[in-house]
Amino acid sequence: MMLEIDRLVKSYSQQGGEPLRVLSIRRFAMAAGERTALTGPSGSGKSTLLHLIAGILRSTEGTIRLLGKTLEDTGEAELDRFRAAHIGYVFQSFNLLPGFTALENVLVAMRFGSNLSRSDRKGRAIELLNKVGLGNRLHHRPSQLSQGEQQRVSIARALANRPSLVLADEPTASLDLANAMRVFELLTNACEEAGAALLLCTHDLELAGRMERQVQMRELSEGGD
Amino acid sequence: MSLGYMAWRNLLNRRIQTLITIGVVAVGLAVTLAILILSSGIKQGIVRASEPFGMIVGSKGSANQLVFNTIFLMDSPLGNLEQAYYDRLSEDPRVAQAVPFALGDNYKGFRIVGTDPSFFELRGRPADPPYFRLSEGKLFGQAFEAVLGADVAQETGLKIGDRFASAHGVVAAAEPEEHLDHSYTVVGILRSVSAPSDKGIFVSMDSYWVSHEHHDEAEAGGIGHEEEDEGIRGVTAAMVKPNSYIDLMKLYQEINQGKDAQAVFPGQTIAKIFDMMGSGEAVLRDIGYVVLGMAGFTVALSLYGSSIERRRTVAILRAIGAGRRAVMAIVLLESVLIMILGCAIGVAGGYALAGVLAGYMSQQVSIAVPVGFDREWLIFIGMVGLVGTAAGLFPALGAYRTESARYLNAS
Repeated sequence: MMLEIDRLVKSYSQQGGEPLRVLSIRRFAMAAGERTALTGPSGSGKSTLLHLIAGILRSTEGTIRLLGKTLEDTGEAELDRFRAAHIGYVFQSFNLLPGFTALENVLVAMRFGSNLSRSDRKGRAIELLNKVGLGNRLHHRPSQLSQGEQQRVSIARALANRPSLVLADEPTASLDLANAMRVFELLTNACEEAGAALLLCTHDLELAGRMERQVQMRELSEGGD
Repeated sequence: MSLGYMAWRNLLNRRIQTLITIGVVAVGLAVTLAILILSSGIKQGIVRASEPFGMIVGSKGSANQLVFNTIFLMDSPLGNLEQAYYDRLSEDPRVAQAVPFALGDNYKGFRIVGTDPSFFELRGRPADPPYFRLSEGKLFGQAFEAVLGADVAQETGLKIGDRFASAHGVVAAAEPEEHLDHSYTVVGILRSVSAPSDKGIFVSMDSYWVSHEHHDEAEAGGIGHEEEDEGIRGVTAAMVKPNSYIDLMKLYQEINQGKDAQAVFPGQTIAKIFDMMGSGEAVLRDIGYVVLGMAGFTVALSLYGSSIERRRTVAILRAIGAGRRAVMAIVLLESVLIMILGCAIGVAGGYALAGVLAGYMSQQVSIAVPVGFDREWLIFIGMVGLVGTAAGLFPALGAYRTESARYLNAS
């Protein structure tokens, strides 16, 4: 398995009280190249789970093994490099760097996670942006792009370092229906083409139904895989 | 893409805030640097202007006033030294040269200095060429011939062969009392020495005396008296060059112990003036440091103020794989870039401001204020840069500690 999660708990200490448990997963696994939809209501811990898999948050208990690496045993600096090289992230609110152009936003990700030469990086960034239909928007800043275009830039950024796993946190929630479908198709097709596994969080059951596997947060908490 | 470029793009994204911060650093540095440059330049200019005058002997009174009269052609003159005293002094075997210096008249506010040709032989050091040199014409040879300082020729438009009538007193009056029957002829114009002497008109002692005898006769109802003439005949000061250092010290002590005159070394008097100026200069410098301190606070405040906006940028960078050290470096580089630009503009501004003020001062008092460079200022500028960069350390540490998960879902 590419991703294996075992008895994972995330809780936050509270002043003068019991720790607040925000996530509890008994077991979850994903194979390489698999595309899974993770559904559940707001506040069910979907985003927290993605942050834990990306190594942005540290678990309180349990283990996450990704590509053979146990994240709990990995130092922060190494985890940063690992995340840059192997994980792509697509957010609901796009999270593009506001002062950077579309091309630069993709290049920044490659600055931290790519072994390509400078010119090759630029070539790949342009190729990716062309692929998501933004070849004529390379030098536009996020404020000059529509929301759908911004999310397409973020998809290009997520795929820039040829990741093994793409984590997408409600990637269509901020978009209108037409754009949502276009972005969804683009994301799933791009991941398939790149051979990357996709773990997509959504509360949109119709969208989730289009993925090859659907998992509910409730099932994970109760012990499903 | 380098971290420096990323820092630069972040600054451009907050360009108004960045420009204001750079501006505050630049103004603070420019003001302080200009004060440092000018205070050093003024001292150099004054010392250079006083170089050729040696020991000055004048009547009892304020030593500062005597120096101001002779070197800077400013302030009202002290009373005259009697002619007999001057004659004794110039004939003293210990004196190599005693150059007379008499004030009393002006032309359009430019002081007329009675002296003799030895005045034009004065030198800063024995090996130096004469301090005063002609740019055109010749030195005065007889009464009522005048040699103009460079600024006088330029500002009055007088040329060789032109004639002018002097007025009584050392400053221009609204209704000048002109010596119409004794007008001067311009025979020479001096090269500029970038010193107050550029604003002087130099005539022979004979001219000075005749002109003043005439004035006093007029005041006494046209009746001249031998006694009065003796009283009038005198000099305001004498520039004395002794034969040796021992002679110099002996003369200095003797003259100052006597009742008739005082001897001053311009260097010593100017040093005292610098001491007096020192407290004013220190206040100005302190003001400059306060402005700089405020600039430092502004940089810290600006970087701290933007840290809320920056948290999300930091969170995004961390999410795409940037390490804590990398994001800290980007924030520090932002303050480095602000300080480099602020210091570069500040140094240019400081020199420009000092240049303008030095030019203005040269025009007003004819003292060349050199706008130079001192290695200490480089250390000072470096310190400003370092302190400003250090001001970015706190927001950089804030970026280092940012927990990205909290800011990634903010819209």
